[in-house]
Amino acid sequence: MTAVLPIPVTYAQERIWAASKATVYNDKVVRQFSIMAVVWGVVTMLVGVFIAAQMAWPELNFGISWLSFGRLRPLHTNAGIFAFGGCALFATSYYVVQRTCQTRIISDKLAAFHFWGWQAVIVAAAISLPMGYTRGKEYAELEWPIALLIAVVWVAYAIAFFGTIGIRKVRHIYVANWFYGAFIIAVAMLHIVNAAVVPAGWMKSYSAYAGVQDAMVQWWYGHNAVGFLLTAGFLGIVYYFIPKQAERPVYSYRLSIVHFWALIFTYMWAGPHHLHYTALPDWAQSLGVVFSLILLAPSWGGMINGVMTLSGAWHKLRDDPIIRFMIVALSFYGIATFEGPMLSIKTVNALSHYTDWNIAHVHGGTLGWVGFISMGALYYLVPRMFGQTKMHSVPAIELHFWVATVGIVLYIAAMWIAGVMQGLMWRAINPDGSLTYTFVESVKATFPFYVVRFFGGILYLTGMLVMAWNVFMTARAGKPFDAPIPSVAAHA
Amino acid sequence: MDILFLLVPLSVLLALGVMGVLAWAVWSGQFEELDSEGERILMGESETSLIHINKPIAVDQHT
Repeated sequence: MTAVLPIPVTYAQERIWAASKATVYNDKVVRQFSIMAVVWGVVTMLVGVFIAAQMAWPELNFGISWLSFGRLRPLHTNAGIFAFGGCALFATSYYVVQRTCQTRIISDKLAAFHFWGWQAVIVAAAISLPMGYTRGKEYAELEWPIALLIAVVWVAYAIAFFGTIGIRKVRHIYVANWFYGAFIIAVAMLHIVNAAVVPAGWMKSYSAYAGVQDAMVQWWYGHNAVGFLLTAGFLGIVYYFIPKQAERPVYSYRLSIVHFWALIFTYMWAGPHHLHYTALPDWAQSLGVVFSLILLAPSWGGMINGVMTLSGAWHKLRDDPIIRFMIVALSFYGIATFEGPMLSIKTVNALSHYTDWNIAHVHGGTLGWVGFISMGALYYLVPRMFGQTKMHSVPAIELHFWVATVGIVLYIAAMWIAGVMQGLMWRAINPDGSLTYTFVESVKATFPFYVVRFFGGILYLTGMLVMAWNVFMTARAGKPFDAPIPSVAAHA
Repeated sequence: MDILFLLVPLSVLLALGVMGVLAWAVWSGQFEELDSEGERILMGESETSLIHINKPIAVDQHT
């Protein structure tokens, strides 16, 4: 072998490198998490469509407790956030940290433990939630033995990720890694504080906090889970995969760094806006509003920065469905981060809270932002994980994009209208001071919107099934491929 | 609202920690020459090699 291997490399050289683990990236864990992101994506959307149908046609509960809305809804949210979203974040973070640090993950064993441990958590959730085991906290339903497993697996992930940064071959830490890093640390802290319980048996526990204290901890957790898992983590995807797919550097790298630090410093105290007009002290509610409003600035700065990355190459929006997934994701990020601060204002909240407007807001964020940016990144990753140059079918990506986009629009528009309508009906008062409408009248009025939402969900699920087929065909056509580490080659 | 005695110090501690990391990043030169860092990820990766993976080409045995 010669001392210096040129890039691009030959097929034979690649095979030689592949024989030696130290010179290739650990793409196995990326591959595993990518595939499972697609699998869990299908599962969570299937459950989502089913419970959306239950909202319109309650007979679909079938009188079976396992299938009741109250038990399947947390399964849907947990599968969406932690199984689909989680796997997408883990796959991309392992991919990005290795590429930008030009080194293999510090420990293959930790990465493998992370993968299998996380799948065990998801399976445990998929069994225990329908059985009715729950801590009763939104997005933190899993009972203490599972919560404990999450903590252990998360520590393994943190060591694998930060350890890899520690042994990086590139001095500068790329901005995407900062976002992933903040996501890992914040989620660890949130989870540990909010999961503090007194066990009362194997699958039963009581929160360490009581009453409004517990509510405050819950929404300090809940909102920061949105801020650091569903936002910061996926911004890591934005800052790596959009430049890569567009083949242009991020519009302003400086702004991306300002975006990061501004977001990190302001997110922590937006949580109280979930508890307006409750027993939570007024000043804490107002603090929540102020921080929520401040958040608009870094959020939109980041969104514009991401979209402007295409500046001078707008034709890619027309030609490349993967770029379109990513840029539309950013548009939904912009919508959700405008809507969020607006909903946090107390007068708006008085109308919107407890209505389906919240459901519209959340799904604009999850289907539009988290879903689309994950799908874009997965379409980028999957061919590369199987030694292919592109997905099995590019028209299928196109189809997925349009079906899913129409699905989101139907979903959100239906829930927006339903939400505002419910808010107005609930507050309508007769001249004599009595309520104009009974609650059930608002439920009846919502029925057509629930049906529209259900069809929107069907479309979004259909898109995901197209993706699953496309991923399967791509994987079948190729072979698992671990990419060589270029810097090692250059210095060999 | 005793809980604030836990959450406020925790958040302040976190903010201080974040400031510490920011200080480290600034003083250790993470943010010098930012203009080239954004472009680095587009260079020197194995992208090019992917083109060859499914097309074995003749290899010079002496390399």
